[in-house]
Amino acid sequence: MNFSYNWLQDHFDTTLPTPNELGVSVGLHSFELEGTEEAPHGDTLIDWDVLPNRSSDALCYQGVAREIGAVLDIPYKQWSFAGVADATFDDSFKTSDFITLSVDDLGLVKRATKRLALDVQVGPSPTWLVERLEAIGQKSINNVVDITNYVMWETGQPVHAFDFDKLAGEQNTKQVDIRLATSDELVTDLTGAEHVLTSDMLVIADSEKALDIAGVKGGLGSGVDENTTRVMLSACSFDFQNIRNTARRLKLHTDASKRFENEVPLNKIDHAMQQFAYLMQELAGARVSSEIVDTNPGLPEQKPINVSVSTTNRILGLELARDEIVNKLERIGCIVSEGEEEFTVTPPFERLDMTFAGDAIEEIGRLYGYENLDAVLPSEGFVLPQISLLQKGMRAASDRLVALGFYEAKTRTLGASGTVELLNPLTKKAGLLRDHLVGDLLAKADKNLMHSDEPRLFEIGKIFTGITDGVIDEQWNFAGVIGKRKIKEKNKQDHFLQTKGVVESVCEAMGIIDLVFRADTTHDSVAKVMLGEVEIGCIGVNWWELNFSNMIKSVNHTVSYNKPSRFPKIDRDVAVFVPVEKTVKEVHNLISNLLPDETQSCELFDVFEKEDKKSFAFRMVFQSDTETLSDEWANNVMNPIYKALEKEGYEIR
Amino acid sequence: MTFIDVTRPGTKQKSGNLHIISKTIREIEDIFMRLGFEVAEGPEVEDEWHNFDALNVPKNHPARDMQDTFWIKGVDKTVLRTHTSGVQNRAMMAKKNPPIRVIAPGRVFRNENTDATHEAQFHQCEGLMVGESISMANLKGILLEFLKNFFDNDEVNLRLRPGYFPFVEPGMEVDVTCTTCGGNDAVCNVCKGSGWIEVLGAGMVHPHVLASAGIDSKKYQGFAFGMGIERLIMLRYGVDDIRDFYDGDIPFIKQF
Repeated sequence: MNFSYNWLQDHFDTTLPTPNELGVSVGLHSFELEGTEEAPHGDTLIDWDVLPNRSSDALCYQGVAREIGAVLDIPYKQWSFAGVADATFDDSFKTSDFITLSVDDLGLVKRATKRLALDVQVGPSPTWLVERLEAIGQKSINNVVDITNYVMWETGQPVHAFDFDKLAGEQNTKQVDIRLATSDELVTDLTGAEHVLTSDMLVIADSEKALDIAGVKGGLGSGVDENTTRVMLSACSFDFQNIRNTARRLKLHTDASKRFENEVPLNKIDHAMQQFAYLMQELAGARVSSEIVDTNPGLPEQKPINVSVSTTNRILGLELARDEIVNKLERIGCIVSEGEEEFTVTPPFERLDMTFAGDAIEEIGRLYGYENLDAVLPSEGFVLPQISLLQKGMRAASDRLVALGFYEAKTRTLGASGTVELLNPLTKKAGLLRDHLVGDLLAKADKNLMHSDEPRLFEIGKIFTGITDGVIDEQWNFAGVIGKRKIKEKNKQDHFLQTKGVVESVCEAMGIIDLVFRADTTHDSVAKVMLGEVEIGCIGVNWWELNFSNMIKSVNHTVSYNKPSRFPKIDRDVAVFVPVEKTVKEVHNLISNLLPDETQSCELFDVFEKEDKKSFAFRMVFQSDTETLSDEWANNVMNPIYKALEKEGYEIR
Repeated sequence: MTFIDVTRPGTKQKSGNLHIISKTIREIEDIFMRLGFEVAEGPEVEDEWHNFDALNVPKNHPARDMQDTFWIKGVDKTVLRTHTSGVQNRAMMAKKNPPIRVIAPGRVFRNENTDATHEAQFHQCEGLMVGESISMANLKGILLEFLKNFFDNDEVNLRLRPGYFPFVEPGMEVDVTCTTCGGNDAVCNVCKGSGWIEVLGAGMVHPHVLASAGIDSKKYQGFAFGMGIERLIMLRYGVDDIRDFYDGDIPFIKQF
C-alpha cells in the first residue's frame, strides 16, 4: 500500500527520517519496501507491501504509525490531529429516536453502529484534507464523502455516510436492517453499476429495499449530495469470509472489501466513529448525537500469550535478557505480566495475527533486527544423506545422453492434449496436463532444424495418464528425439538402429540389463520396449518414450567381476544367406545354443539384402582362462554350427 | 617428416548439454548434500491438504490468494502444487523423527498470466531442517554457506527481513548481496541501487506444520526455506525472459 509521507508525519511530533530512510528502516523490520515516488503537494509516497498477516492492523495510517514508532523507538500519536480523543458531542437528541437498527445474523454481522448528524453543511473540503487524499490518488468529492474516505485510510475501518432523508420510512423515524439479500435482489452501486445478489450476500437495507452491498460498496440511491442535511454515520464489521466470497463472486474488489476480507478488529469501529463524528462537527458544521446505536457494544476479551525467555532465545538463537524482550513487546503496545522466566503477553487489540508464542517471538526478533543475528552452523547430529534411486537414475541417464550429443529440453506440463483436465485453465490451449512428452519434443526438434542438421533432444519429466479412484496417475517419463529433415523409407532401419542404440546405451549407463525390444507397429511406433516381461514404453524410427519410474525400479548395480585372461583371443566369422523374413534373433539363437563356455562374444557385424534373400555375418570371439586356444579347437567349435545352419536350409557363404 | 599444422581446429566431437534448470538444481543438491541434506521429491498434482491445510494456510483466507492455484477437474480438492512445500509434510512423515534435513526441488504451478517474469510453471527448491535446537541463527548459518558456495564468492552476504508465509513463524525474506554490482553501483539495474537482491523466503517452521506431520512441537523446532530456480538463473546469467527456459531452443540450452 502507498503511504503519504506527510500524512504519516501528522502522527509524530518529532521529524521523521527522510522518506527513503524511513522506507528502508520499516522495510527491514516490518513491511517490504516496494519503492518510493513523488506525489502531488510536495508529498512522497512510500510503498510498503502489507501482507495478509498484518492486513488487520496495518492497512491504515494509525497502524503503520504505531509500527514506525516501535521500529524507530519514538513516541507516536494515535490521532493525526489534536482534539479527537476528548471531543464532545450533542446530547440534545438521541440517535435511537430516529433510527431503529436490526441485524439478522449476529454471526455474519459482528458489530453494527449508526449515529445521526443534523444540520450538515455539504461543501468543499479544507485544503489539508484535499492534499492528503490527492497525494494518495483519491479524488476530493465533498467534505462528507472525503471524511469517510479519510477515516478509512486513517483507521482501517471502512465507514459510510447515508443521506437520512433518502431512507424509506417516516420523516423522523427510519428502520435500518442488515440482512441477507433475497435471491436475485438488485443493488445499483454508487457508480451506477447494477449487481444481482445471491441469498448469502449481506445488504444494508431500509424498510423497502437494499441500499448497498454490505462491506463492499455503497449504493446510488442513499448517498450524500449537495442537498443533504441529515446524515446517518455508519460503521460495521462483518464476517471476513462472507465479504471475501461476495467480493470474489461479484468481481467487485474495493478498498472496503479488501479491509473487511482481512478481518477488521472490532475496536476499530470505536476509533472510526470517534474520528468520523469529530470531523463531521469540525468540517461540515454538523451536530452529531452523542448516542451511538450499537448492536454489540463492548469488546471480547484479549487472550494473553505465554512466552518464556528460554523459548525465545532457543528459537532465535540469541541470549536476550528479560528486559530486552519486554522492551520490544511493549514498543508494539503489548502488555507484559510479571515473571522472570515465564510471563504472559497481551497483544494490542488490533494485532489479530498474534495468537501464540511464535508470533510474539517474531516481534522480538524483528525489532532486535534480523540483521544483528549471527550466522551459526547447527551443532546437532549429522546423518549421512541418502541418494535416492531417482536422483541417481536421472543423473546417469542425462549424463550419458549429453555425452551422446543430446540437449535436455524442458517442455510445458500444460497444453492442448492429455486426459487430465484443469478446472480453471488460463487458456484453452493450456487446459490439459500432458500424458506424454515426445509430441512436444518432436515439435521442438523440428524448430531446431534451423540451427542443426540433426537436433537431438531429450526430457525426463512428469506425465499424468488418468484418474484412478479419485487419484491422479502421475509418473516420471523419459523421451528423446533425433530430429530429421525427412525420413526416407529406405533409411528407416538405419534410423531405428541409431535410436535403439541410444536407448541401449542409456540403460547400460543406468544399470538396466534386461532390455527387450518387441516388434509393434501400432501407435506409429516400431517396437515395444520391455524390461523382462514389463512393458515400459515404445520406440519409433527416431524417437522413444519410456516410463522412467519403472526403469528406476529395474536398476541393478551388482557387478560380477571376471579376472581378465592372460591367454590370447581367437576369432571366427560365419556368414549365411537366409530368407528375407528371418530375424537376426532367430539365427543368433541357433548359433548361441552351440557355443562353448570359452565364448567371449557373438555379434552381428554385417547385413545386406540380395534379391529374395539376405545375408547375416556374425563374429565369434573365444578365449580361455587356462590355455591358448588352437585353430583346431576353433574348427571343432565351428563345424557343428555350419551343420546346424545348413540343416535349417541356410546357405553358408 | 610430415608437416602437422597444430593451428587447425580440433575435430568437433558430438556433445550435448543439460538444461540450465537441471544443472542449477544439481548444483543446489550437491551443496546441500555436503551440508547433510537429503533430496526428496513429491507429486506435482497435490491434494489440497498437503498443499495448503498441512502448511497452515487457512481456508477461505487471503493467504490462499497469495498463490493463484490451478484446480483439477473431476477430482475433489486437488491442485497442481503451488510450491514444493507439500514435500515438507511427506518428508517429515517418512522420517518420523528428527533430525530431519531435506531439500525438495521440483516443478510448481501458478495460475498467472505469462510475461517475461511470470510463467504458469516454474521450479522451486524448498529446504527443511528440524531438530531439538535448530534456531534462526542456524538458518542464517546454513543459508550463508549455501549462498557463498552457489555464487562461488566468500564475500557474499545475506540479509533477513520480515516476511509472511503461513507455514513459518517468524517468516522472512532473504536478500543476497547484489552479484552484479556488489552494492557499489547506485544505478545498478539488477538491485536498483539497493545493493541487495531478494532470492529466498524462509522462516521457523510453524508448530501447526510440525504437528500435522506428527512431530512434537514442544520438543522439536526448525527452519524451512524456498527459492525460485529460474529467478536465481536469471539473476546469475542475465536471462531476461522466463519463457525462454521452455522453448527447447538448442542455441539457448547450449550456452550454459
